[in-house]
Amino acid sequence: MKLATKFIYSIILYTIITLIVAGRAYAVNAPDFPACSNPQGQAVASYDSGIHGVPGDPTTYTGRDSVYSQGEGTLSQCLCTNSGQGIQTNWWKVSSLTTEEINILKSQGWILIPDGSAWGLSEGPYLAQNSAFACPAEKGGGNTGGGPGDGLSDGRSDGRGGSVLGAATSVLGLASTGNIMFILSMIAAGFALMGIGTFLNQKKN
Amino acid sequence: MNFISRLFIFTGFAFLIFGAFLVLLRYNGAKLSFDNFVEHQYITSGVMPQKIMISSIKVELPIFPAKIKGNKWEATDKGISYLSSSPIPGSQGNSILYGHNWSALLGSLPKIKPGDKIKIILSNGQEKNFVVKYTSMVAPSNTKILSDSADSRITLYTCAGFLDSKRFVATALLKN
Repeated sequence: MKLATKFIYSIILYTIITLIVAGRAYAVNAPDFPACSNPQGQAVASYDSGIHGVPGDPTTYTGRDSVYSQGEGTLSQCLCTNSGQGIQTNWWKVSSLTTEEINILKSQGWILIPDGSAWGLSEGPYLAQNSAFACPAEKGGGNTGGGPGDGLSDGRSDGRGGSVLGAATSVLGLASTGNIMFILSMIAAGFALMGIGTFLNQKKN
Repeated sequence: MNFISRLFIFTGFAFLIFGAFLVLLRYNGAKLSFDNFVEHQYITSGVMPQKIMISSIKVELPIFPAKIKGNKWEATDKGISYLSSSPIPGSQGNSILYGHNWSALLGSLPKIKPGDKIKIILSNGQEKNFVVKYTSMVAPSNTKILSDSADSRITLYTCAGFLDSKRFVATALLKN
């Protein structure tokens, strides 16, 4: 084997090993949070209506809001807007984490809130993470806070939930295994491309 | 010419490999599982759910009982699987039902919306009506969505997302 080839293989191997080791060394395990569709823990706040903010999102939302304590500085907040857009925010008090650990979690989508008291929580730094769900819309609620509605053009609601997840799943589902026609098309395209390549190769010879 | 023919062959080979991978994933028996789910055995009266109907997404399918063996969740390819260690739909607790995301099964489940109705027919002829309250996309590690509940609910889910890496979950509560 040539020296240059050996060098390239060594670089690739080194990179792979470094990535695996680094990934394990810097893994920070976030606590588990229950989903808002099956909330658990102790309810610490509940508002049937009102204007609410979401960390990392400049929009204000109108709707129902409930907060559940999961113990040990962890809370889950379930916001259901009048238009049926649900936003779950998981709160995690991170006073004991190092700056490096917080930076790793920020790269995983967590948002640093330097002082929780600004959000009605106890003093100290928190990490917050948002996720979407769909919930029942208020009848006549329409679109609030600029969130997606239920598709009705007149701005009224039919009392059913929003279509936040539908759009997301249709995009992400492109490479899911549900559509057998997509899979068969991919295999057929593979055979066709290989056939064309072989034909071109033979034509050249 | 040589480069172009090789490019075609390589791309075609990549398509074949990815297609074969999707086929393997599609028929992988463990793909509907949740990670490290701890079952609770409920005392059943012998009544079993037999049929599910969701008119809003044109679903009408038979229900078959299923168990968790090790980390593998049994899943039928003829209808909906009912985790037989969960409560009977309509009784107190969280009844767990799931099915493949194939077009003939629960492929249209992500179109379901809060407010939609789900009807389940039991083996004794009783009908149980539910109303969807929440839908969400969760990771298979989020087993808390399957936890027991004080109300009477069903949790119906299928695979979704890139390479079936997520679960699309519809939570419906018993209609009084």
